[in-house]
Amino acid sequence: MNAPQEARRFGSGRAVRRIEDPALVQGQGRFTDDLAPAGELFMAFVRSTHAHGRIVAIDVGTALAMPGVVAVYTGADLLASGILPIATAPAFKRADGQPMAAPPKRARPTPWWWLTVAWWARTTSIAFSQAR
Amino acid sequence: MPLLRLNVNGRPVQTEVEPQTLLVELLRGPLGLTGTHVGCDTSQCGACTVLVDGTSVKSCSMLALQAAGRSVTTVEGLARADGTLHPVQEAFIACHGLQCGFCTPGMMMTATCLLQVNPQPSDDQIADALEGNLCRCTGYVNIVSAVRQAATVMNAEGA
Repeated sequence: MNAPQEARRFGSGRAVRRIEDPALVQGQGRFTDDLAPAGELFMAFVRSTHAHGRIVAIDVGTALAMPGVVAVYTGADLLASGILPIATAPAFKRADGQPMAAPPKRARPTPWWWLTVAWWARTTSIAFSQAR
Repeated sequence: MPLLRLNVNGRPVQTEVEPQTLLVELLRGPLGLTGTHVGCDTSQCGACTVLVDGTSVKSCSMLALQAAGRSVTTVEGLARADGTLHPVQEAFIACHGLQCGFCTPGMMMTATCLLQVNPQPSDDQIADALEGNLCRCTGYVNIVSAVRQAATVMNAEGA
């Protein structure tokens, strides 16, 4: 009575083979590092070696002077360029119109975020170069 | 630059390489074989695993020049010349042994090496052999299943 019946409807009750697998098992996948567009740059993150602290200044001069380095950006640069906080999902309202219970949102790209190191290995600056 | 002669996926290759060039850099760069992935650069993840004279090697921890005169097999050389997939490749598809597919080439090369040495491995032996290959989709259960199924198929074909 409960014996499995052969599915008669397309897409129902059958194992589905993923269409991406044949390429992936033959090394024909295309991951970001597999692409080499003309003029591509390589990005490196410089991370904090301190667990906590306030960034007073970052000297990017030595990095910029290295051959092939195109640009170095720090949090202060992003602030100065007017990059806005990452938009977060709007809070739902309760049936009575009150805001839902939620922890305070901490949108990251605030002055506090860019000028404070809150944990070890946090990104402090980003460098772009023509070679690794 | 030193001249390097080796065999890659059954084809003779002759190229000049800088002495410090890693085998994986030669494969992915000048040879264009991007199926071999670099996941960590610190020889932990195993995504770059290839076969060198049949033995699995993390190609990020070997210099290209060290492969002089050797035969290197990458994931691109796993299928037969007529395009028929290797039993390990078939089994990874059939057992859903891959999700994003990034670790898969390394997993399959390690598994291929294991099955050459040990055609009937236990699940523990499979897990032990794959110790140096990390999967961040955490599909290990299905990966072990895939290797087990590949072993069954290869033994049946060989019998």
